[in-house]
Amino acid sequence: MVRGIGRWSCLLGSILFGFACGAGAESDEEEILVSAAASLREVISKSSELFQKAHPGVRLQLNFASSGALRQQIEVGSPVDVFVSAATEHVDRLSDLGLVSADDRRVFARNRLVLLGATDEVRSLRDLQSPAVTRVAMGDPRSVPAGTYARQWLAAEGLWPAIEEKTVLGGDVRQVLSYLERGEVDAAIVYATDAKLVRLEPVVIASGPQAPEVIYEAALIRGDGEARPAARQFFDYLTSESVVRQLEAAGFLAP
Amino acid sequence: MSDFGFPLLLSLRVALSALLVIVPIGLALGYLQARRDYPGRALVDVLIVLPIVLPPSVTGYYLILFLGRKGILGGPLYELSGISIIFTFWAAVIAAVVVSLPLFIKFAQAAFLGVDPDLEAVARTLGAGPTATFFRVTVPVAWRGLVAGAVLCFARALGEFGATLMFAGNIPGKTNTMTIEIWSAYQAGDDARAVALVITLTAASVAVVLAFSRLERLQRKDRR
Amino acid sequence: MSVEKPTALDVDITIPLGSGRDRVSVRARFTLSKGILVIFGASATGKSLTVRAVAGLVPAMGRIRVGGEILLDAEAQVNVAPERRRVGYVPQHAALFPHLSVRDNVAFGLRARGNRESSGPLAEEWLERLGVAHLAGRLPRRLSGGESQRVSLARALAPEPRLLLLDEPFASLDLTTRREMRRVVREVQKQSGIPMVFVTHSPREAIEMGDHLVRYGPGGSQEEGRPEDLVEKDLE
Repeated sequence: MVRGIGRWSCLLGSILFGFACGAGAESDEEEILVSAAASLREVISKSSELFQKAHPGVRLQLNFASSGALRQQIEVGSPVDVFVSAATEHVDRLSDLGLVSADDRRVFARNRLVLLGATDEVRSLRDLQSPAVTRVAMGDPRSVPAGTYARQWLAAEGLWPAIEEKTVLGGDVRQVLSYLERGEVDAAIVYATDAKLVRLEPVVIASGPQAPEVIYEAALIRGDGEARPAARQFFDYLTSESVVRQLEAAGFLAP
Repeated sequence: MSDFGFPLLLSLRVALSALLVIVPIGLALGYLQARRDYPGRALVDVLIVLPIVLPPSVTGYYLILFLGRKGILGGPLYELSGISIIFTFWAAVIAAVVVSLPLFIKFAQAAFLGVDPDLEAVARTLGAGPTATFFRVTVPVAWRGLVAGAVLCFARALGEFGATLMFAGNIPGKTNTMTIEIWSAYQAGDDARAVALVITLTAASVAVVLAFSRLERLQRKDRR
Repeated sequence: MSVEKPTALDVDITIPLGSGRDRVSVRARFTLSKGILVIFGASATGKSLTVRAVAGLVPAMGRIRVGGEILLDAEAQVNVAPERRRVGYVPQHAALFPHLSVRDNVAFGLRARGNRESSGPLAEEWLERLGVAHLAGRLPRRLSGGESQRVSLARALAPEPRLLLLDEPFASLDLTTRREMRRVVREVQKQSGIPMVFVTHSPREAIEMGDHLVRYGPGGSQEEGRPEDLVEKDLE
């Protein structure tokens, strides 16, 4: 009985070892690591696919999360090649640290903030103050651009810090969206593109002088030395016509 | 945004509240598993150990599945009473209970197994009923093991993160426990705050470990 | 004029042991009118089990009567809980409560019956009778084997049970202490008049302690009679 277990363990061990070895063995391809804001998941995924078809020999590794979290990872040394942030402040911070040069950053897209409601109780931004609304989801203003913009917007409308105690903070804008979809909250502040993705009609679209400016920037990260040529190629590709068309189709505003 | 003291106090309140729930249930189930054999006992044992072994995100997922606003139990509850547990202080307590209770049950079980059944038998013949025997003989004799277990579970509840984040969410002023604050501050690049919280939590954990090992040593000396 | 005095102990039980395929039963049937009844036999013949059944600590079927009160009657569905049987129990290892002082150990049974104020002095009286009054304040872990058993005895006797069960109480003591303890028990029995059941596998002990004897043999056989008769052959 014990011997049988010994043999099975060896077999299992070798299989796992084989997997581990296999996983790292793509060394004949060049791997480019791309970190992008969560709201760009669909557009960037699609664009990457097209890019990889056009450039065999380059593999794009995609990483989506809140821009703040992604920036943190880069700061502590994650080998990211291209960073697409939903707010300029994160690229600024990396630039201050010498990780992004002034020439290697471009405006990538723009977006708008919207308010989504789960019930009829929510028909305007003011309704968030009503006692019928107990929970409002938004991104963490400290690290999620959608949350920073949301706070800006609410403050401009005189609703912050009034409704702060009702807020449920999401780690990225997609998590905020999921809270609303699951019915865990009464309202959520996300991007117009997120609402469009899940086919929800926004209650309010932020516009006019009160509305925050949502600006996405793409940046080439330097790391130890110069950025790699394949990374620069992808970086240039991101501001090309075809990508701009895809962005507009998804509901983003052109850069 | 909330000051430093709030997450600390909140974490303590959550852990203590969790302990208040854990101890009675843990004592009862720990005793049951230690002393009685019954059909399905092995299955119950598996269910008890499961939350210890499951990754916190899985636990968090199950909590939402059952107790979320549209959950299997949470849905009807919300329909009937408008009460929603998810994203409240109690959600944080429930998450802490779910990950720590199994630990305490196991500790209690071990502590009770270390109590000579003859002690309980003699107490019965001397006129003490089952409850009196439990509280005047079993528990005092198992005392050190029980307290050590409680201390460790308190620490576990204090350090709960994954399931808490999913089920109680990050609500500043309501559910942002120390662990969630650390993560949040780190993401925001607020190193000063993150470091301060980390040091506090580390110090608390060290204190707990010291208390636990001291109790453990005392218990072993007792047993000789 | 002959009002029949109820016997001290009347046992007629079957004790189930194990489950499923390993199910066996121990059959016990004997009476005790007064004095000390010895249950004698080799190990694993069911002696301890019998005594624990009388105390109500293991389930059994049949009838148990102590001093006229029915403690167990499986047919009539009577099964008195151990804490109400008023049957004292002294196990092989003293099983003193480690967290209580000697005095509090002995007072335990008195306090369990709600006898708070007088429990202390009464406990000390019993300690006195068993020659260990000087140990009243000590904790059990600081007692020798013999001292522990004396305390255990005092503890079982303090609530004045109708019957005392001793399960090989001296088996883990050295010879000298054993002899001393046998004397103590016989003395206490004579003074208090409390009937006792004494379990042992030692032939010498059986003869010395018992007024009456039940011998547990292999295959569940039992013989009742005088100790000298039934144990003679084991004395070689």
